[in-house]
This record gives sequence, structure tokens and C-alpha cells, in this order.
Amino acid sequence: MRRFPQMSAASVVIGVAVVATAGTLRAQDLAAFEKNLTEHKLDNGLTVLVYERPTAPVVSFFTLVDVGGVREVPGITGIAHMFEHMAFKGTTTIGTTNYKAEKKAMEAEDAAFHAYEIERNKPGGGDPGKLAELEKTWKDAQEEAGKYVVNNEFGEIVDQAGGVGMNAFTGSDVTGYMFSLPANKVELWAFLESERFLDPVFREFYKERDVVMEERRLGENQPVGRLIAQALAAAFTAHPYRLPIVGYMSDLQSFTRGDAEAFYEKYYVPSSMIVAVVGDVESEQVVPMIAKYFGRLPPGPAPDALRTTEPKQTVERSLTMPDESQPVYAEAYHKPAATDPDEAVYTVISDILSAGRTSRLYRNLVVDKKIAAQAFAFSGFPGDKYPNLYLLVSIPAPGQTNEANRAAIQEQLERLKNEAVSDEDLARAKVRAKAGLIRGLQSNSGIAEQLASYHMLYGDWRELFRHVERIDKVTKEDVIRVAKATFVPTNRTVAMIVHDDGAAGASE
Amino acid sequence: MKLRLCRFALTGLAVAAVLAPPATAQVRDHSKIKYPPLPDFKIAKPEVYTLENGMTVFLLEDRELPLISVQAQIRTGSNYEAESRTGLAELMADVQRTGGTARMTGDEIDEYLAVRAASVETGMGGSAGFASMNSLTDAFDDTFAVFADVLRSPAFSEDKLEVAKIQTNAGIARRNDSIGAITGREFSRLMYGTDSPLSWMVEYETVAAVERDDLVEFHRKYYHPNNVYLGVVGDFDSAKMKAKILATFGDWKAGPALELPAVPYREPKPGVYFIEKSDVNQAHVRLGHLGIEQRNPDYFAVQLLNEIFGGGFAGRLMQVVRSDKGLAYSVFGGVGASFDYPGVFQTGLQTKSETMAEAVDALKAEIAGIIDNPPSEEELRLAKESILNSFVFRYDSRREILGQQMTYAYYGLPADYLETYRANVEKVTGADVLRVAKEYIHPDRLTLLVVGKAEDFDKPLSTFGEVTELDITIPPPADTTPAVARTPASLEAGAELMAEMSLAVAGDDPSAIRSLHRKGSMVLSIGGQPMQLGSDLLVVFPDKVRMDLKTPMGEVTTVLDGKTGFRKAGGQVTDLSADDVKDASEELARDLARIVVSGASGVEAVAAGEEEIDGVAYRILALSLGGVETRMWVGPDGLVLKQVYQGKHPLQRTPGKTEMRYSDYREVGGLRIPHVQVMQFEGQEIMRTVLESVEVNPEVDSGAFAKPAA
Repeated sequence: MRRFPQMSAASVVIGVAVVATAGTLRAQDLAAFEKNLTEHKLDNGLTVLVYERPTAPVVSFFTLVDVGGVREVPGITGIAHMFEHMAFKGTTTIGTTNYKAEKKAMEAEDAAFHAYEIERNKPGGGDPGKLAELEKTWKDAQEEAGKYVVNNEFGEIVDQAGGVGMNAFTGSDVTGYMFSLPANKVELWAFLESERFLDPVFREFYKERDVVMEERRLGENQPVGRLIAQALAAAFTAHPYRLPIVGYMSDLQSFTRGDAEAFYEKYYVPSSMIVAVVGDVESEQVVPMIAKYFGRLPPGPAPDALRTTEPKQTVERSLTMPDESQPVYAEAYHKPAATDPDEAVYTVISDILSAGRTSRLYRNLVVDKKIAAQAFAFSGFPGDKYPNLYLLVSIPAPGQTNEANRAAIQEQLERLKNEAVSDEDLARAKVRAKAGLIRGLQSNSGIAEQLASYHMLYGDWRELFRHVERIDKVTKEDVIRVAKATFVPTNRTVAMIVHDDGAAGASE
Repeated sequence: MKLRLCRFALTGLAVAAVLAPPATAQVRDHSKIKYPPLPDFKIAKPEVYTLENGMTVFLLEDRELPLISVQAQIRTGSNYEAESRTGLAELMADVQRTGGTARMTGDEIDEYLAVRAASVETGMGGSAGFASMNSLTDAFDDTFAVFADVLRSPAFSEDKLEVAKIQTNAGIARRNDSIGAITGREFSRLMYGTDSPLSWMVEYETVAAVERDDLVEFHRKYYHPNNVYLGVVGDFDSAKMKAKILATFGDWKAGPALELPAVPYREPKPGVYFIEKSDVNQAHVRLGHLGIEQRNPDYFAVQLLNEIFGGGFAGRLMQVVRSDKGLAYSVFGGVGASFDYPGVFQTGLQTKSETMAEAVDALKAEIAGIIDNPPSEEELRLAKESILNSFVFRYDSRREILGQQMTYAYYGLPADYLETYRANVEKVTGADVLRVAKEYIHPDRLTLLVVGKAEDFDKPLSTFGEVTELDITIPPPADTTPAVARTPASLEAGAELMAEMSLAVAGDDPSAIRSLHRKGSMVLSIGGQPMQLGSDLLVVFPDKVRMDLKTPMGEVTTVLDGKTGFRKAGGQVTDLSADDVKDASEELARDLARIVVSGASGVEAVAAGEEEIDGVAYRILALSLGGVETRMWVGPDGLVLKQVYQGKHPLQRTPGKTEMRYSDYREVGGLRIPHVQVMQFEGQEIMRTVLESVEVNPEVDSGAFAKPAA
């Protein structure tokens, strides 16, 4: 049985050196990627990234659109997410038995809803008798329009073709759509994916709104979810990051199909979109195919830049939420957007504070003081395209308090501000960033998502590799400087759950 | 790693040539697309061999990225632990990793792995234990050495066991916070019966019972090479890896052959079950009964049934429940399969409370429908296509292939299971699907579980049958105070001591005291940040209490009026829950003044020995006050020094040993009242109250206990 050396500072450094020098990533460095990656921009502004990876006869696809909750305003909160749901409903040819008739029925549906809303919005909530009547007319119109619907045809087509991993997400900054297909079915993807953004029909709009409301309730029924929603609204007073991505219930009950269509027209323009294709493909074949299908998307004006920036926070904010659940403690601090040169420093800070069992929060709160069951920190909440939040969360151990956890977190932040991190801490963060990059390249879908995401945020997919190089250059002084600037009381929002058996819980 | 044959990036010219304006019209109908055949692809096969000591090894090279992954599967599981120590197996697996080895402490291992960006992890499932590692190629030797040590000779250090226990207890305290977690767990328990190891729950008591020796013994019993399947996938050369494995594990001695017992379970009793959770606006619904075993030859027909019933976008459940009725965001269903005992046939969804009954009806209709309205040829064809067309994804990564091969070997499925899977699915006919639907789905034998807020349901749950409400209250930790012997002598001595105490505290006519008003300041000491509060406590004996607390966040008033009560805070008035009323009543029952004034009847007092504290002899009085147990240390002067009982943390409401210490007794209106009261919870001072004014039999405002109008 092999013996290995006693632990010592020397062996730690040696360990790091072993990895660092061997460390020019083998085949998965920028140079290797460039060889197999084709980047192309269509005339209409759509960006196409194709990466050849023939490990198995499968291909993953990822479409990323530069729109999310952050482009919403009160009145239409939840609409970006709503469109994500609509994107599975089909087109004028997919998902309907008779589009001509269906279109008329949908117009009747919209008119009925409009009349219902006018009555509902009258002072006092409208005349109950009239309201009931109008609601019935609206529900009947929905049923009528529903007669033409072929349920879930889009999803079924992908399913039957052997597609897997069909999913989508709406974030604060971006919306993503993904699925994978066997390698001989790339043309199906090119057809379907371009069709659904070329010619979407927002059918079953009101029914799907109900589903989204259920989704909202599902989230609302998680105590930590409720707490974070409150924290977000307190930390951001002006910037749309404060808005819940799933939308306020009142907006969900009121926004119309027309609102969703207008939102889609404005933001789903090819110059705001990236498609990434990764797997067993040949770019000479796939790029022309993509151009053929996606070239049909009409170019549109690029949306205006977001105007509102969050004013600097100058006073500590604090909120306490009584809840039937056990206590939870959270702190949030403002930080710059991900494109800021200091982003790499925040990544290093997160590694030192929160990555795994050697992290300071885990060691200190969970193991040494035993006041937390879990404690972690992360950067880039709720999004990272704009100035965002650095979030620290602690789940107190039984019988332990939020206050004790607060004090312990503060202690760790003060350390970062006043005490240089060790060589080992810094080295560890850097090695982990490199290893993380390699590990992120193990699947087609992972690669597709990363390429598209970095390209969207920075304008260049190569930043996937370069950001690791930036992390490599972070110094101890950088950490102190950034910690001092960030972890100050005037920049802090505190949010906590206190246990209360009689608490109200989820509202809507 | 072999680089792909160099592809030149397209030059501008080449691009322009292929991107000439489209000459042909695009397909507008997906069915017109012509697909080339799928490229031929051989599923990689791991090399499998056995060491002399019985360890089975699987090797699969993958040179694409400089990573190596190792996975070990060990023949054991939490299904085999003793009921009194439920949680032992998982604790063992936890501390196996965190507790260090003979050579390195757990913290040293963490550090060692972190600088190499490597990981070694251990885990425990019901029917298998796991150990794994992942590292960059260059760190493999170092990491593998640690992995082997953790697998073979964990040190199980006591301090890490303590941390693991705290984390486990935290999980227990929180296990009813999430409605989803409650639903999944309780439905499974209904399926297998609460006396099955599959249903046993980790409790404070079972965790407390686990000692380090138990961990050592569990590991010693199961962790032998002849019980281990070891798989390695990644960037290595097989010949070198074989040598490495032999060098590392060759000297590990085989253990005795183990015969694992069958896992007992009990068929579920169909019926309607309910769990109240009042802080939610959705109801979680589950409907089902037991399913099949994995080795059942009908397994393949069942997969098609599941695809038709609950699969993807085309499944019947998704169609009706989500799309047509907009009832739920997520719905699922299928006949589940497990190894060695049946899986579960279940359907489930979450819906707003007001559509609970509608959703149950919809689910029941689909379950009946899959038999009454059997799958059409078209549905079968589509389901088959779905499964077969996506088949390539079952072997699209080497890691996945290795995992599958290990699983087949572990559970005794043939090595070519993946290859024959395709053929087995292709063979299934419509008649097969109908047959298995009838055989394995029973609409008349369903167990229904609903979790949610009953008062918001569209129809009462009893609409579906007689309802059994399940109590999921988390049992508090056992009271470790030793029991007191109740003998005629100790009872008599107890009664005498009680009388002496009563006389000292309240004089010879305690019933003259009808009410008590105590005002003072309170310091809550939590985590080194003491909080000063003003406290105002009014008690009208025997069972009316009003507590006004002035806190930095405003005034909080809590009122108990017999069997009901309310709390007012931040302008909001909320009723006290049944649990709150119980807690408040118990607190009142232990109030020193109340014990003496009202507690005399219905009190069982037992003399429980003596203790000397700071040179003074105290007599211990064990009291049982209508189910509330407490002990009092009575001094030579008849006054009470302290009270000790199993109480609840004033904020967290978690159970723990509580001590109330009294001092600075002063006489007021015939009562001797301690003006300083200090509360310790689990050995730490939590609360210190200093009284500033005390009034006996004050004028009580008639509205003092009235709930303010909403």
C-alpha cells in the first residue's frame, strides 16, 4: 500500500504546483476549441455557434435570447416567462386543426377578456352579476378556441423523433431553450426551432396563465423562496431586478395576449439571439442548413438599452419574516455587473467563503461553531448582466439563532477585509476554476449552454476560457480591496425568517 | 487524447459559396423532412474482471478530457439497519468521509483534495453504499490513495460524528417545512407500511442512540472487497490502471459471504389520507398502490404503458390535467419498478387548494381511462418511437455506460441488458400493453393522500371516502431525566415538601391570591448579541395570561384565555394555533406562583432525592401537573432555587433541557416572589428577567384578555 507524505504547507504547495504546471489544459484549451468551432452571423443578425464533438451520434441545441425579467415593468411582470411557455404552443401550422377559424376564435377570446377586465377594474370590483356573465362569456370563448388546438404537438414531434432534455428557462437577463436529438435529425431542429420564433401562435394563452399561476404558488410555498423574494424587493428599489421573474399575481391575472405579442415583437429579434449546436455534426453541412431555416427570421430593430440603474444604497436595510418554518438568515450586498474587471475577484471570494468543506463558512459555522446546518454564498443574483447582488445564506442548526449566524458571517467578512488570504486559499480557488472549466465541457448540452451564455454576456464565446485566466491573475490585495468596498453596512440588506407557529405563510 | 482530424475553419469565400440565397423553398411540414440514417455506433464495453479477493472491477477508457472518475458500489444499505438506530447507515457513510482515516484527519483530507480540485465522496442508499472520486489526470495517484483509505480504513472521529448528528437533527427539525417533502415521504410510507425498513424515519432518539462503535461495526460488517464493485472511467491506460488497482487493493482481505435478508413490507390499505399544512395555497395529491419488481418480464410492456400514460408531452396525464384543465404546473404518473421489492404505481400533482377535488377527479378519471379506454395503436406507435428514437441517449457518454454496467452486475441483470432492451421494447404489442394495464393498475385499490389546507378545498376530502388524518408531529427527543420511584413513602414526603414550599411562597391562604401583575425588563441573550425588552405579565389564575413585550421591533402581545388565545404584533392579530396554546398552557402550569396558588389540586408531588449546591442542601421535588413534568430544588427555607424540565426554545420552539433559576425573593402582598429569573436552555443562558414592580390582586381591566376586533 502506497505511503504518501505527511500533510504540511510544503506538500500543499507542491500539490498545487503539480496541478498548475501540468496545467495547460490538454485538448480542451482555447486553441483546441477554435479548431472545431465555427462562428457565423446571418444577415438578419442571428449569431450561430457550431462545435463539432463526435463522441456519440447525438447533438444538443441551445437557443439563447437576450431578454428576461429585467426587461419587464409593473403591469407586465411575468411576461417574459409567459412567452417561454407560449414558445411550446406551436405555430400557424403546428398545434392547430384549422388556424383560420382558430384565429377568429382567439380574437373573440381576447375581446371577451377585455370586457371582463373593464368590469372587474371598476371601483368596488364591478357589478357581481355582470361580472359573472362576462366571465362566462370569456370561459366559453376559451373553450371555443380550444376546440382547434392539437395539444402539445410541438413537444410530441420532438419526443417522437427521439428528442430528450426538452426544456426552457427564463432568467432575469436571458431566456434559454434547449433539447437534444439523435445526430441524423438536425434538420428537424432547424425547422422546428426557426418556425417557433418565426411564426409563434399564442394559443391557450389564458389557460397557460393559470398554469403559470400554479407555478408561482409552488414557489410561494417554499419559505426560503418567499424570503428571497422579499430580500430582492428590499435590495433593489428602482432597477427591474427587483421584479419577480414569475410575475406578481395581479399582473398575471391581468396581462393579455396582446401584451405578450408586443413583448415578443420587441425582444425576440435575431440580433438578440444566439443558437449553439454541439455534437456529431459537420459545420460545412449544418451552417448552410441553419442559414436556410433561420435566415427567414426578419431582422428587427435592436431594443433600446435599459435606462434605469439602481441608485447607490446608502443605508442598511433589514426585514424579518415570521413563518411556520425554521429560521433562515440571509444578507445581500450590491456588486458590479459580471463584465466588470473585478468579477474574477468575486469568484475567488466565493470559492474561499463557500466552495466545499474547506470553505470558511462551512468550516466556521457548520463544523466549528455548529450554529448552522448549511451556510453558503454566491455572486450574481438574480442575474449578472447588470449590477447585482452578492448573497450569503445560512440555515441555523436546531436551537440556534439567526443572530448568532449573523455575527459569525460578519466575522468572516471582516476577516476578508482586514486579513490577506493565504497562498493556499488563493491557489485553491484558481485550480478549482480551471478544473471547473474542464468539467463543464463533459456534455454537449453543457458546452452549448456555456458557449452561448458567454457569447451573450461578453460578445465573445472565448471569454469562457479567458475568464479562467483572469481568475488566475487575482491577487491578495485585490481580495482585500473588493471586500472592503462591498461588505459594508450601508451596502447591506438583511432578511431573515423567524419561527412563528401562527404565521400567515404563502399569500398568493 | 486523439485530436479530431484538423478541420479548417471556413474561409470567407467558402462561406459565401454555401450561403447563396436559398434556391429551394423551405419545408413547411416536418413530416416531409428526409433524414439520413443514424451513423453506426458501437456501444463501448467496459473490461470486467475480478481480483483474487473477490472485488469486481470495471474499466472504461475515455481520453477526451483529462479527467478520471471512480465509482464503488458496496453491497449494503440503509434497508438493513436496526430500527432503533434508523439513520445509522447514512451517518456511517457521512462520517466515513468527514471523519478522516488512519493517515489524515477529515480536515486534512478536505485541504488535500481542495488544492488538487479533486473530490472523494461517500454515500448510502437503501440497497447499496457508494464511494466515489473524481480528479484531473495529474492528480489521480494522490486522490486514489485517499479514496482507497476512505473506503478501507475510515477513522470515524468522534467530533465529526457530532457534526453529522447535528446536521441530521437539523434535517429532522425541518422535515415538515416543505409540503413536497412531506407528500413524497408520507405516500411512500403508506405504500410499504410504517413497520417496513423502507418507512422507518430518522428521529432525534435514533440519532442519539448511534455511537461511534456502531459506525465501526457497520463498516466492518459490510465493507469487504468481495462486496465491492469498482468502476473507473476516464483518461487512463488500462494496463497501467490494472496495476494501480492491484497495488492499492490487492492486499485487502476478503470477508465472510453475506446473505442480505429480504426487505419486509406490507401491502397498503386503500383509503383516503390527509395531512393538514396550513401555510400553503396548494394541495399536493398522490394516488397509487404498489408496482412491480424490476426483473418482472412484463417490465418492457410496462415502460410503454408508462410512456403512454405519463410520459413527456404526449402522455395522457400531461394532456388532460395540465393542458385541458390548466390545473397544475407539474403532473406525473407511472408504474414504478424496484429491485427486490415492488416499486410504486403513483400519480401525483400540485394544484391550488381550491381545485383539489377537481384535480383528484381528473387523476382518477385518467387512471380508470387507461383501462376503460385502452391505448390505441397510434398511441402505442408514438410511445415506441419515442423510446426507440431516443435510445441513443442511453449510451451517449462513457460515464453513463459504466454506471449502467455496474448496476446490471450489482442487481444481477444480464450484461447485454442494454442491447436487448431495444428488441424487448420493439416486441411489445397493443395487447401486451392492455394486459399489463389491467394487471398492474387497479383503479379500485387506490390510496389517496392529500396534503394541504383543508379549509380552502373546493370540496371536503371526505367526498372521496372516510378520511384518516395522519399525525406527522416530529417526536421530541427523549427526556433523559431519570424517572423517580413512586412509593407511598416518596409520595408522602413529596406532599409534605409541597406543603412546606407552598407555605414559604404564598403563606397559609394561597387561594386568596386571584391575580398577579409583574413588570420588569428582560434580556434575551442569543449568540452574544443581547436584546433588551420590556416585559409586562398579567396572570389571572388559573388560566388567563397576558404578556406584553416591548421589543426593538415594536410591541408584541400574547394572550392565553383558557383554551384559546391570540398574538398581536406589527398591527396584525393572529389566533394561536393548537400547538401554541398547548405550549403556553404548559409554560403557565410551570409558573411558580401558579403552582402554589392553583396547582395544589391535581398535582402529584414526589420527593426525588437531595442535592448539595454551593454548600446548601436542596430537596428535589418532582411534580406532575396534569401531564406537565417538572422538578424543583427546594431550599431549607422552603423557597425554590431552580426548576428543571424538558421545555422549548423560546424562539425556535425546538425541544431541549430547560432550567429556570430564581433569586432575589421579596415579599409582596403575602407572596414571596423571586425578582430575578434566569432561563438556561441546553446549558446556555437565554433569558434573564428582572422585575421592577409586582402587584398582587391588582384591578384587572375586563378587556385585558379580549381579542381586538380585526
